[in-house]
Amino acid sequence: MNSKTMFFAAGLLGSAAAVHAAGFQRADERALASLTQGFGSTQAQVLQRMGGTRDEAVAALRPAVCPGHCTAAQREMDAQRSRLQGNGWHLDVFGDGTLAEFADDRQHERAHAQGVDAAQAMSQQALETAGRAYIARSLASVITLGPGEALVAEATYSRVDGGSDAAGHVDAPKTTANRIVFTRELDGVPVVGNGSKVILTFLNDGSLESFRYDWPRYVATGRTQAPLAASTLLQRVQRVVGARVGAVSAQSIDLASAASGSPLDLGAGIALQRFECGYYDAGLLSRDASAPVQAGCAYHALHTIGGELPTTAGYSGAVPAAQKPMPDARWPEVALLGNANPANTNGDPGSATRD
Amino acid sequence: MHETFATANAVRETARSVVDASRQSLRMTEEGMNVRKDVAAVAIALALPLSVMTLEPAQAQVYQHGVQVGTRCQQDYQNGWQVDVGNNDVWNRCWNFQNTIAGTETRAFYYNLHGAEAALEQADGCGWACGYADSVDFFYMNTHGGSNTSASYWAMWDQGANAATSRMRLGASGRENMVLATFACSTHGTDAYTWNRWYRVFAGGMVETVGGRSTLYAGNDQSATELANRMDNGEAIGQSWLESTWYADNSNSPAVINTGRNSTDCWNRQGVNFNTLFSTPVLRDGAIGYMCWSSWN
Repeated sequence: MNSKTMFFAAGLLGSAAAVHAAGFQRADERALASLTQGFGSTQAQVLQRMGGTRDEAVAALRPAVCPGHCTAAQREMDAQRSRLQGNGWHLDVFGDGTLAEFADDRQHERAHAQGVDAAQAMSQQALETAGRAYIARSLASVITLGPGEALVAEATYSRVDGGSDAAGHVDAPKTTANRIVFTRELDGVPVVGNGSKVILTFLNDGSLESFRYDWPRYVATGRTQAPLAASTLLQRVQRVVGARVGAVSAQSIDLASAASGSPLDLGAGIALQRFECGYYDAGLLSRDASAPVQAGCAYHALHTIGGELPTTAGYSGAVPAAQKPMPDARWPEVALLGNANPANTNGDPGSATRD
Repeated sequence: MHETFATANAVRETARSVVDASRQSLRMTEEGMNVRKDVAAVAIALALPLSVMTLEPAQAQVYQHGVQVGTRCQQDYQNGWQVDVGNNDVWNRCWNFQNTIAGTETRAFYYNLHGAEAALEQADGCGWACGYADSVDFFYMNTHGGSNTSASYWAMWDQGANAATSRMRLGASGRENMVLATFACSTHGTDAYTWNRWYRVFAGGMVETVGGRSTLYAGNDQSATELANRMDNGEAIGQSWLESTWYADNSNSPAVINTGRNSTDCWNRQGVNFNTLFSTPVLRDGAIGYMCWSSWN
């Protein structure tokens, strides 16, 4: 059993029917290694995320999304986004041009009719081959790699359609689209979080339905950090998720349960589903633009309350891997570990004025 | 410059009034089906960028569809009967949603879920002040949730109180809700029991619902901003939900469920967006022949 399957066996906690992504072996091995090796190196670079302009990105992507006789109009939607739009498709480029999304509605409209049983959908290998070919052919000018960097397949996902009629007949679920996520490794260390991702969605006939990427350049700042041991990083996860739940546990963490195919019990009813260390980049839309990219470990955890009507709460985030992380106003775990509350700019809106 | 903005605002207010008046006067009932044909024409006309109407610079495009949106959320619970997801995630997410949607649509209300079970389970009788789902076209909610074989349910603030689909009928009173969007875990499971859980709600005429097939993770409240932006740009409501929720966290499992007279009609109706919402025929009770769903797994 690979580690992703292993951690997502957290479905045992209550969402048993869940079918999640298929992780590539390399990504799963990295996640498993993070449990015992943490960041995996005695030294981590402190990086700066670099971009360009939206106009440069639109110009670079235009041949890919609007080839030949295609006509398109460029529109400035707002201060953060530029849109190139044609008949049945659009390209949005955000911020400094490092985040872009293309969606082809014409292909999306064809997807349902192409639905197939899961066994007949694109295989992991076929998706990686198609994805790498598309990137090389159409995105090479924006998905660039620096020295020591590599583009690595991380996981695949599927969009599934189903239905039921008034007589109680339930149609078999059909896979209508296939999605692959690539990430970046820097000298063998992955980037975790929404940054450094290329996501491509294909129909079953291999046509591209959409792509989205968050792909900056990283520049070394010259500063370094010494990552903490894996056991200490897991305790940090235990502490921050406990703080979020409101019940911090001091229970020791038994890694043996992970090897047996169960989620890690962090105490206080919290189960760790997945844990992966690397350089943490939350992505253009979710990060403090002035903050550096630092070592960190991404986590997914569940907390379940039983009873007649049970509920499960999902927690995601990342803990900093350095002993003393650098300030980052939009990284709430940095504040939590520093015994400060994350910035609370929005509060309870109040009750309805009449019940 | 101020005069231009004032003109644009006046146009928007006029547009809202036209849509509201049209919606109230043009509902026709035909064998359990409401058709809002003329409203659609108004809505489509209003979908034109107001910048064109007011000759503002092209970069300031603002869309207006006349959709009334209500938001109700809960982060903390009476006597801690449900857990806080921390990091102020719920209040941030809901503020992001209602603040973004207010830029182009009508923000009807934003309340917490104190004493809110009735707002989901009972017919609307007093409008926005009570915060009922049926007092708006689009109702957004963020709380904990779950499901069994007969119902999906959402936790209210009040200890032990849940709103359950087995007691809900949306779209049949007040403004007649058309879309229910809930950021909550496992309320939109797609399996042999989906019809059981959701038929009663749809029987009131609601067009579509979006939520979590399984777990939706707290940790990236930016997805609510993206949801509102996508819908305002004319993307299908279901697709807007699937993409904004999944891109925020690849481990999320978002789902959309809607109804149709039959399978073909159902899949066609899943493409409903803010431009076509008011022209989508309302199906009630026996007019519903099929329920269809789509999700990221």
